[in-house]
Amino acid sequence: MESKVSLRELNLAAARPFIEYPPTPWWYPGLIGGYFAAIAVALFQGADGHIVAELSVFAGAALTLGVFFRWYRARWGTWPQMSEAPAEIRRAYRLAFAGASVALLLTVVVALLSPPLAAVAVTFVVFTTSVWAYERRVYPAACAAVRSRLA
Amino acid sequence: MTTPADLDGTIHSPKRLAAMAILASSTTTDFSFLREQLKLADADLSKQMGALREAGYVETKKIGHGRTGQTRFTITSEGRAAYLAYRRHLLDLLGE
Repeated sequence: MESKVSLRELNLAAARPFIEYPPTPWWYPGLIGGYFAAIAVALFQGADGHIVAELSVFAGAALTLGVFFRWYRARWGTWPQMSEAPAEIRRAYRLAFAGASVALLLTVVVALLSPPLAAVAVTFVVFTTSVWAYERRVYPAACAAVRSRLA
Repeated sequence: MTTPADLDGTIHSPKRLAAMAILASSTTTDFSFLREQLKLADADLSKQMGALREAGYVETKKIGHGRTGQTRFTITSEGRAAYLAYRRHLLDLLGE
């Protein structure tokens, strides 16, 4: 009985890097949406002769994202090893991957059928919304399920 | 047949075992995170991590200086193997 308790405590400790985290700032989904919109600018607008400016937008977005993750890692105090994630968190990862694939497909379809500016706007909206849903609904629910299983 | 004697003495202590579990599921972890999650005093955590470092189970790296500086820990391949072996032995003992 005591060993069962200690195994549960061990599993809970192993899950802590995944379930004990500072919530991302409210503007984080917008940051990711902006990053993908910057990629869309570089991809879809690049042919109009402003390639240097558009690549600069992309480089600036990538740099901002890099600075953000460095700051967030320091605030978190750890960085989970994805391959060691509890089953509930793995499901959240799979959902995020599927969601990102659908978002990517949607933006490509819009880019093929609409003006480049519309594709950039759609990219921003779709990725911001998807990241918001993942950060505020999907991942917290997965963490709650892990806590409940190991309580 | 696994017996309790097969369990690795270095990580058998509950504090060190919990620290190893956290480190095994993270790429790197800071002193502050371990202190908060394990609810240990600085001196106690330093002592526990020192024992793991001496056993070659963790590596440490100083990040930054002064009040904002941090000690960052990474599990070594030897440490990961020891932790996984410990887990296996524990599961064997429990018959799972």
